[in-house]
Amino acid sequence: MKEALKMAEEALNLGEVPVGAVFVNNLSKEIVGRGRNNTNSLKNATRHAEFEAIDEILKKQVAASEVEWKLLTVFVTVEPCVMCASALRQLGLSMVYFGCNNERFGGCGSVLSVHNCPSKFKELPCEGNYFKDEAILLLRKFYIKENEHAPNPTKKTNRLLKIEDLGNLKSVI
Amino acid sequence: MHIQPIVKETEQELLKIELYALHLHSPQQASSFIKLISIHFPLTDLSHLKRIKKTTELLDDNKNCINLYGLIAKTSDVKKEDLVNFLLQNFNNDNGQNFDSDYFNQRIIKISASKYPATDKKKFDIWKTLWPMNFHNDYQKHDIPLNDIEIQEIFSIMNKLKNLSVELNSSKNVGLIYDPKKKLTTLQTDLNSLTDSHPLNHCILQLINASAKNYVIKLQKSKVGDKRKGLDCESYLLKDMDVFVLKEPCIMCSMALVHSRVSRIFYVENTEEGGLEGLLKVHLVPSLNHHYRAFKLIYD
Repeated sequence: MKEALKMAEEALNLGEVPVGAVFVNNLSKEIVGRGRNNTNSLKNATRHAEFEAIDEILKKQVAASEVEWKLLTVFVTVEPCVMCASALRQLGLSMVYFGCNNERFGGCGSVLSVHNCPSKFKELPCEGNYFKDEAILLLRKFYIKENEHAPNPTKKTNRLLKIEDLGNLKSVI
Repeated sequence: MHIQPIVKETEQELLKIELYALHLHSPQQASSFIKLISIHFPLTDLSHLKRIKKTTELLDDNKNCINLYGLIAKTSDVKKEDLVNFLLQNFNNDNGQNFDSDYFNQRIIKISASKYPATDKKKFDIWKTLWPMNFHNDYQKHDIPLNDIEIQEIFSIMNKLKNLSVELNSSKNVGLIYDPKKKLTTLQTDLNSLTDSHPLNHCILQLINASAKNYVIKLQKSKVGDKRKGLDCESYLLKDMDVFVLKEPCIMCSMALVHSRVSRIFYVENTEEGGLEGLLKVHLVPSLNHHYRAFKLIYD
């Protein structure tokens, strides 16, 4: 999860929404793919961390059919959105560990329950609250900055970064 | 031939449904309740209902007593004893205070709520007194019927898409992006995308990706002058655009269209794992930040 947080931090530094993901092979315990949110630079609202990581894994393979998705576990700093949850379930990932909930788009319980709704695809086990406060802190650092991409950026000079309620910070980012 | 809008099931009269709710003892308990319950007992087809009900009772000594109730699930879906066991295992501790099965047995109550979302403000104001609800104007927006000229235009574009599918000679879903203002097809499925070996090579994702790539190229070409003017407003790529596909999109693609702020989608065939006609109706989820209209073309 710390590796996923590093990816999220990279996104933050590049002006992207700080969400990071890593895919780990269950047998070798090695990281096989990394991704971070990349929507702003690609002008594509679907380029979430999970998709970036999936494409990195596919790039390394000669044939897409060689990837054994069911042997991979996903670590992502924010609950996957409805789209990503559906994608991960269709590919048949073995498990998803995530940091904080995604109240606006979450597909693993927050908005919809795509991970376990009736479907021909195997259920996608999900568990949250891993390094949750660190994930929230990164998001707050992003939203406190003025969004240069918005048509009419709101002045946020008076905003302060709140950290008092994040009692479980395990590492300072 | 006609076009059927995919809307939420609604009812003109109030139809009640019975649910279990937990009488909560503090706002702190309510917030941990929401976190736990929303994952294990999703509202799915009842997303118009709020999770928490707050009532204020005036006591004899003129003090207010606030009661909080948290929605769990339909009484037809779970047994009360299973709920008690579930809460005992997952929700039995609050600031060091432990609860036993008596606590939950007394505090799980039956409540009734409206089975369907309210279609107008008047109904909403009455129905929500039963149990709090969300209201979205979209239900009214979705009622605007298509006019005859639009219907003709839509069928003619769908016919073009059907011809394209025959031309490409593939059983896979094909689609196109259409600008209804300029009356122009801006992008359509091509041979390359049909042979793409990506496991998530659904036609809608491919169209979104291709459209983004074209946009980035356009951006690079027009780097002279004021970059932001006119272009950044378009950064949500499919704003005011229509998408035509032969088959209903899956949940992933339905949500990709929410992220891309599409205006309308038209399709012919529904699919087993579809995200629009099934229970989820991704294009109409009240708590998402964008909603689009979905239509099924019916050939008699």
